[in-house]
Amino acid sequence: MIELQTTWGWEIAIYLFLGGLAAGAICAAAILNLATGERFKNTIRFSAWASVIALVVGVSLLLLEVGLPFRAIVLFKSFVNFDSWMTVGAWLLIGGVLIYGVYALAFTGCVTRRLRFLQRWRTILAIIVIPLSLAIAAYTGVLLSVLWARPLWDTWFLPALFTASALNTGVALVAAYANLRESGEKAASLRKALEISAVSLIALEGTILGCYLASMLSGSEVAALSAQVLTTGELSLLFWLIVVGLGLAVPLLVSIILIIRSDIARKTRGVFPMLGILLCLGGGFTLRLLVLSAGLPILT
Amino acid sequence: MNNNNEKEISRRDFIRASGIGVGGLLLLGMIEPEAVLAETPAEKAILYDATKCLYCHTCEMFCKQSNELEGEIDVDGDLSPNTWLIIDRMEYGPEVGGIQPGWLFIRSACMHCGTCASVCPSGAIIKLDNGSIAVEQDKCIGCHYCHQACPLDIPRYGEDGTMRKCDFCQDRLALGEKPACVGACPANALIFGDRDEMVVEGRERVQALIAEGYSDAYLYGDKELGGMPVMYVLAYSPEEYGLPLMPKATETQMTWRDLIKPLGGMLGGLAVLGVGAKYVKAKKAK
Repeated sequence: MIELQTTWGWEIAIYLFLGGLAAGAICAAAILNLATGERFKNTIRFSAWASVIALVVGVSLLLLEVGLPFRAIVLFKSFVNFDSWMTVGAWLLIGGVLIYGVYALAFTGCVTRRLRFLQRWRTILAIIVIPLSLAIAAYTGVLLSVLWARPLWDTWFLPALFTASALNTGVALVAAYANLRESGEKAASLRKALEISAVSLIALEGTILGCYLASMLSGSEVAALSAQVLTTGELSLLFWLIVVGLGLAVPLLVSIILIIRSDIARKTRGVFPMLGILLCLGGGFTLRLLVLSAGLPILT
Repeated sequence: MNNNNEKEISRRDFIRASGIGVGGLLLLGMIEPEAVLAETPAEKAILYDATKCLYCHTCEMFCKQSNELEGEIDVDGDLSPNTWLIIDRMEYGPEVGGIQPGWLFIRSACMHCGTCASVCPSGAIIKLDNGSIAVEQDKCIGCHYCHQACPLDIPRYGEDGTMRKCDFCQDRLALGEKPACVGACPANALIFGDRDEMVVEGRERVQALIAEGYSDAYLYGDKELGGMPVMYVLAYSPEEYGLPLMPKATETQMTWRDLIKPLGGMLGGLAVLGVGAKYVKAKKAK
């Protein structure tokens, strides 16, 4: 009987998921901002605020998960070893909350009425937000990948996978707003662009996931054993059904159908695209939870 | 000008207020500057000879006594916040007629490899000048990152949430004494001294074992992770004792991680360049 990794449970999985979701959503929003100016400022505002909230909740969960949350919350004393990726990540996330926060404020009317110059900062903030969000998305994987004592995590495939998943879930979140609240001819082209992005990102994530598993299955004994927990072992049903089936394959199918037949979204009053989006988000969270659980120690 | 009744806050005021806020936070952080890892080579070492160990548990008892750890020893137990050292045993050799030919004994305690210190976010785990790894409980936040990083499953957490493990008997070392387990061992299976000498001694013992026919005899901890302050003389390969194969310090698999930080710097640089380009463009447009 294999003993799964339980030291870090669902709280850390949510932390990694929300960090990625926030990064992906705001990255997509910033790209949208740079590409289309302020045409879709409502979508950008929603994505930016959602990202700030996701990061705050994520960091809060990390702090609540540790044994001494009140000590940990004094970040300037508890996250000081910059050799540690947890320290780098905690500060990246705090930086994210601040920068994303200012970016969100720059799209919030009641704020920009008092702080008019913020409107002029939008482009500069978008330029800063993109690399910052990519760094945060990658960090969620790097945090685990530096732990060589857990062979399933000890690979650069993991930051790559989590970054792809972050962008995938982030685009899904942006698409949720675009589907429900944006209207007009231009909104239709935005929705199509988001669906094309979703298809590309799902294909990318699926490819990385495949390479990751193949590399683990052909790797060291413990790496293969850990990967087998996902592919054929205790977590295989959840992995194939929720992560691969419902989390990647179904959203891929939904997006392809929506690219070909965009009228389906209107006919189903947005329910059809939302189905793909919610499954994508659920798959993203489950992916992290399962990768965490299957991270067997080298001393197995 | 703003037509609203609300007073517009100027960019200068905003930046000033933000600057004061961030500056204040930075000052707070500087109150207690942290010393992180001492980049010094291991000077002292414990050498455990698995072939001489009697499985008598005297080292376990003295470890508890010297470190004032509560509870009785449990010979078949596991490490705990109050048990920093145990000697495990495992059956060895092919079973003949329902009888196992022999036992292997192996020490289970922190080998002071320092992997935990490199990941500890709060700087609570530090490498001391003598090469050993100590935990400062008043800095530990209980994040369990050290537990995830440890190749030997050593860290345990007390009721207060902080990490506990063997501290190399720092108090005794400060008084010029040996670690408690070493002083207690009746069989000379545990010895202590300068690491250089312990390496020579360990290698000699391994060579002697090989000459006796133990072709897989091995000095565990000699080269692993660049050399550890605790080493084991083993008659068989580490796997037979349930010990993981550890990377050497120069393993190529470590190198990709060295790329991450420069890559992060490049991303940051790109952001600065992007902002600069935008600024220049805006200036030209004016």
